Amino acid sequence: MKCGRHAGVWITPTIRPHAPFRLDERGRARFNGRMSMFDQTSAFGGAPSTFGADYVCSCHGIVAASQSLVHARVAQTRLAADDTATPQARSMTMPWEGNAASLFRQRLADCASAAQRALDDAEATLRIAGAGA
Amino acid sequence: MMGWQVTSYVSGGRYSTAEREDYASLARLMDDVAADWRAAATAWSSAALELARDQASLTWCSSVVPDEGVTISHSSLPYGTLIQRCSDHAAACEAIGGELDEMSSLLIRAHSLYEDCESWARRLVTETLQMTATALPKHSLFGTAAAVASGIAVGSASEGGFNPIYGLTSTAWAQEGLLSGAATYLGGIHPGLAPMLTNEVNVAAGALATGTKPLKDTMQGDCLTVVEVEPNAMVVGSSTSVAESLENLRRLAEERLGKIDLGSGLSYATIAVQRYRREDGSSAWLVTIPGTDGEWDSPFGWMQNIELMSDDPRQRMQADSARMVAEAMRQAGIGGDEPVALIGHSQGGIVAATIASDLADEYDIRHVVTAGSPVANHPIPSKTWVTSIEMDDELVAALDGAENPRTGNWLTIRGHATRSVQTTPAGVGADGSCAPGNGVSSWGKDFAAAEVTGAPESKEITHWLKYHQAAYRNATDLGSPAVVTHERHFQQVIEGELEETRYYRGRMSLYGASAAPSSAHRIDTDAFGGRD
Repeated sequence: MKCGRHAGVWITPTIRPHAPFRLDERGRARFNGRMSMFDQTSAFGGAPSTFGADYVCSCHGIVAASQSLVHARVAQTRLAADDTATPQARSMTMPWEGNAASLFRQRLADCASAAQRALDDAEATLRIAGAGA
Repeated sequence: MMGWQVTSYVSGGRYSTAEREDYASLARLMDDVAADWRAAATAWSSAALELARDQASLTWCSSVVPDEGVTISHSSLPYGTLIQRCSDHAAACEAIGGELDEMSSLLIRAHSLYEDCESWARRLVTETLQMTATALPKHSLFGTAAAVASGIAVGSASEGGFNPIYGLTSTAWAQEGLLSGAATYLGGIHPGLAPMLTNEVNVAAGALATGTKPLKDTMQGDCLTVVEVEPNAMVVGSSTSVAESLENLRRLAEERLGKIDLGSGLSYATIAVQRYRREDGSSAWLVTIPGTDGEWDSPFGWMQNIELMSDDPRQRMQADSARMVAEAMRQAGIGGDEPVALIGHSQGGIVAATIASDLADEYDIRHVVTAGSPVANHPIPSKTWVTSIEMDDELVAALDGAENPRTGNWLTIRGHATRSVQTTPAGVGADGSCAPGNGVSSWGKDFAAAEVTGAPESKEITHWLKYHQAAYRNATDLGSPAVVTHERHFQQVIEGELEETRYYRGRMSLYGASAAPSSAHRIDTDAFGGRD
């Protein structure tokens, strides 16, 4: 996501690791009820649109940004899912025994399954985002 | 219906350093992975918001609003579906992170990975309170009274009725420090030395006992009669574990006080001595010692506790309860080279620790189990393994004013009682109908706690054995290597077949005129160090 180069108003603080975006006052003024086809900046503010001059609606940029966002989140989920397998594997080699140890190993296995399910679901979301364009 | 449950924390005992480091490393890894999942959850939530904003931006698109005749291409996404899915992913990621956090906590608690830090923090609090109580006694008294009053007020309000027991709960963290501060005063210990000591209470008890012992002897007498008694029904059965021995201890303790009726006819101040026959034909012994009964002619009265807590071994062994148990062991014929395990509740535990400390040369005492007993400063030799079970707000276990030693041979299980939904077990009625239980198993509770059997709805003092039993059950469920090792050691001491269970009853009298049968044995206190 791009960040506006000119002065603007901060509109959304976010926890996601990217630079905060700004309301593009100039671009917003030009919308005037419609998206501008001409020489507009990105809907996200910042650099001039690469597609505005080609008479292409900026909704393409928004959609691409949305897809990129989902893609990034899926990648993050994949990393977490991959990491979840490690404690599960290590728990199997520990000498810890007893009721709580059995519970621990079973719940870690459940976690690993849940992590895989979460990843599968996230990838399905990515496919939906990809197919929807 | 509400009940009570106990969560256990283990300290001391035997650990493999390498294994412990492995567990700590795994716990750190799990914390990291849990943090990854929580970050992913936050990111998905944020993504849902951003997609909602994108969706809002698209409402300006001319594919949505009729255009003005210019033909251009548009694109869109099923934003509603995507936003919902992002929210679902956030919830799923959060759940996985939470699950990993819970399992990491279980691992940490089971292996006491924060034990060192917790112990130092507790010691710091205790010593600080002790110094404060010594330097500012009036302020400390006022502060303690305020803490007790506020605890009672809050607890009673939550319960809907006045209950002073909450005063103990609210001051649980301060009890050892305040008691050792008070003991510094009573024992005449120089305040400057106090922070370097842990036995202030025992010094003070020794000083107190010099006055209370003659008083007790005047009121109750010093003549102890110990006789073997035959029960009409079995009370203390065969045991193969600490848990079973605790249950036997509870049965004996409650039977002799009339809290349960097993039809044995046993009365107060009765202990049990069991002989186990090992495979090689040798004998092992288990001595079961209940706590204070407070009867007027009982060697397990209230004032004997003071002598038992003394730092002077002669004073300790002159306590009537210690003399009685020593005499019962002699009458039972326990040999000096035969392994012995002692298990005691409250005063019974202090007696067990006293005998392990002061009769170490006469008996081969291998293992002592104490429940709710303040024995931190008893000089139990390292050849004797100690398993101490204490509740954090029972007060009695804090009367030693110090934390138990955290050594390989000394394991302490500290229980913390919390309110829970009481469960009822499934069963079959008299008419053969099935009565479904509403039990939530310890497994179902992730072994966070073990239910206290037979606990009332309202808060009661947690000094009762059923709380220690629950604490031990939770610690056993955790599978801590330290607990497993101590349990195994206890089992090895009494390994074998139960050959006999003998019960001994003690009575105090002023003049030695006892109604005891001829087998009765008059105890000579000089035999245990003599009187001054």
